[in-house]
Amino acid sequence: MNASDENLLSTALHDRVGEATPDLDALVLTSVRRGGRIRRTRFALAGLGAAAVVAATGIGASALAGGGATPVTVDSAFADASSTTAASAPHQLAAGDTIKLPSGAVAKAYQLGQQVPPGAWPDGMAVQPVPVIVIPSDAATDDADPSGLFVIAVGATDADLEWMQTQYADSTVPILVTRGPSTDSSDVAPLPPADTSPAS
Amino acid sequence: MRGLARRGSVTAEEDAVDDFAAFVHATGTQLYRTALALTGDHHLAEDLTQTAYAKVFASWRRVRKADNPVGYARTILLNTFLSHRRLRRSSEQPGRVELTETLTSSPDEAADANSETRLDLLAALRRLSATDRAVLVARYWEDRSISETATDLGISEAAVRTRAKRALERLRPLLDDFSPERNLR
Repeated sequence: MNASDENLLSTALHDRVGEATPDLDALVLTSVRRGGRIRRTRFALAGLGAAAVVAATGIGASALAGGGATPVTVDSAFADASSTTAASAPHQLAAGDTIKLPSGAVAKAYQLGQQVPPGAWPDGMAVQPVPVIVIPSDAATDDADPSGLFVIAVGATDADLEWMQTQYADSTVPILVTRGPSTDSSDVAPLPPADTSPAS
Repeated sequence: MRGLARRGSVTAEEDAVDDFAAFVHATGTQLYRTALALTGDHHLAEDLTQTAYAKVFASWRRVRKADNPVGYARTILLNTFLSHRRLRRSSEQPGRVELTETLTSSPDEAADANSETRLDLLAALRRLSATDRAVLVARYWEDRSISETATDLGISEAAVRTRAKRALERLRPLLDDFSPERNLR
């Protein structure tokens, strides 16, 4: 290697790429759209983490209390629901809504990032892994506020989850659904690829 | 009250987008050219640049307050390129550049020695390992120092020197062709 080689390479590179010009307006639009998706994905995952931490805290507190804590059932956890739709789902899901699933199980929606109240998951459940599905939200506008919902559907069957996919396929906000903590790793539905992947 | 708060949030978001757009307009061309030198392909370069800026935008509130947002964007671009190449490494093996692999596609191009060499240069760069390529682009396209290149790529300065030397040796046959003395002959 000598200075001549370095100069030649530098000249050659400038000659080859030095006049390339991107469409900056398109670059801005695409980057904002993709960046918004990345941000929402991070936000959703942060919500999941918060929910898991809250559940773990609840379980830990029960254990420390020596089993003296009042067992919380799924029904009691949802007893304060503001509205319940029988065997159906609200057209556009909102935080606080409850959904009666076809199997009879009840699901409740929370704002992503919201602290899930102790008891939302029954005591004694292990924390990891958390089975989760994400309902695709093609209708979501990319420049909307990063918002989303986190649905806890304890006891939901696969058919229930498919039913929810159908019900909320046109949701304007991302919806993450979990059946709650489980010890069965095969029960984990894969997350769709996040938009943090490298160029492809 | 809630409406006012929401309107304020929307305005802040619009400001952030405007701010980000100004940043892209100021830095996008240079970053895109770096991506083109790294990938050797306009479509890949566009995608790489978009991905890097998308990641920047996802953290824009933090990045805009940073001392060197441009440096942050460059680092994101390099890391995205390197991580992507690692995933695809099995499909490309670094090796000695074969000058027979010209990319000329027409008699006009073949007649234009400089054009041919320019095309060959990108083809030759694509045959190098991702890290070697990143070293060359940082050093000889962006004029980064050995120390800066080492920091950018997370490798030692000695590794930068070694990789630059090795990569330049592989490219030497092409560079000889690009030499003005030879073109005058």
